[in-house]
Amino acid sequence: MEIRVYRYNPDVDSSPYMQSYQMDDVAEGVMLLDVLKGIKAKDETLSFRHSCGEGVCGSDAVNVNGRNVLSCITAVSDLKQPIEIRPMPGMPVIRDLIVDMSQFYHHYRSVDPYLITHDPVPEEEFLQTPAQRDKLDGLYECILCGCCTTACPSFWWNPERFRGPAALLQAYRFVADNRDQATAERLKALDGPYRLFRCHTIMNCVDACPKGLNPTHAIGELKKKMLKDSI
Amino acid sequence: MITSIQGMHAWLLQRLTAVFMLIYFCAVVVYFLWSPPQSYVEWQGVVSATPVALLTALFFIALSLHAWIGLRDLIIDYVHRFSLRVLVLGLVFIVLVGQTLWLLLVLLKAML
Repeated sequence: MEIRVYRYNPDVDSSPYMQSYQMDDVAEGVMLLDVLKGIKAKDETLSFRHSCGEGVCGSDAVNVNGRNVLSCITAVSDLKQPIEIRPMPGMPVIRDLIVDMSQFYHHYRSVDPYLITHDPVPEEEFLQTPAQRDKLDGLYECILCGCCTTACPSFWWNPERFRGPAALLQAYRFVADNRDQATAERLKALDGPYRLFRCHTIMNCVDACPKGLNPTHAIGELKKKMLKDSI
Repeated sequence: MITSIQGMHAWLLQRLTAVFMLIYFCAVVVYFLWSPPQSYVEWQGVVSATPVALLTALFFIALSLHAWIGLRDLIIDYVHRFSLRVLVLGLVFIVLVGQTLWLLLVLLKAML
């Protein structure tokens, strides 16, 4: 099995290049992360992020054959060969498959991803009805891997100003939360030509999300909420 | 100023103009299928009737507004150099305003 991996070490290489590795005896059902670890055992100069190995932490997002995936939950047998592994697009490469996610986290921080209340908080806990809690399903599960945002052309063209699908999904997660009392401020912070409205409903984010979430729907709901609150 | 419409207002305006254009377009298609004009004089009579002329004028205004917002979005995405962006936006603006004024003039002439 041939695996072609994007290599770039800024201390040594003048430009990135693709390196081929031959991996034999790859058993049925093996995940791509295990293959990458196998390559690392042969060539320890290869760098990539990984942690939990079961699609929970979101550390090992890479671009495989043109699609952003989590390598730990991507079965090698499902991939067309030769397998081409690159870092996630649209972000500066630190080394090999490791990208600088500062911009991504900046956008995440900028949507204030936590409950904001103006009234005194309850002494013990906030109570929600099952219906209120249901509204958060499909929103809170995001693991911040970056697959969606780095698959979004609007983010590629305006990475500094467009918040990106992951951050906007989180923005809606708190707008949809009945316990949060900062909806007006949140929506006001997203108005303007760039932060929210660069989204052209391309839906690459939906296609890329390894957790099966739908940021495009959340963005649509933000726009609807903004419209309702302004009329 | 129409050039300063952005964010939610631009998004809303683009959708409202789209809905209006769709309704107008469907009405025109139905008219042509149901009772198409038999001569140029009859066609001119239909177009120059005040309600039709007003709706047609609104259609072309809506078309220009819709196109302005859409093309501006494209230019914001793909043209990043400030001077070039201003130039392209300016050209698009002139073309759209020019075509709208020209079409309004044609309709006005047909009505008189």
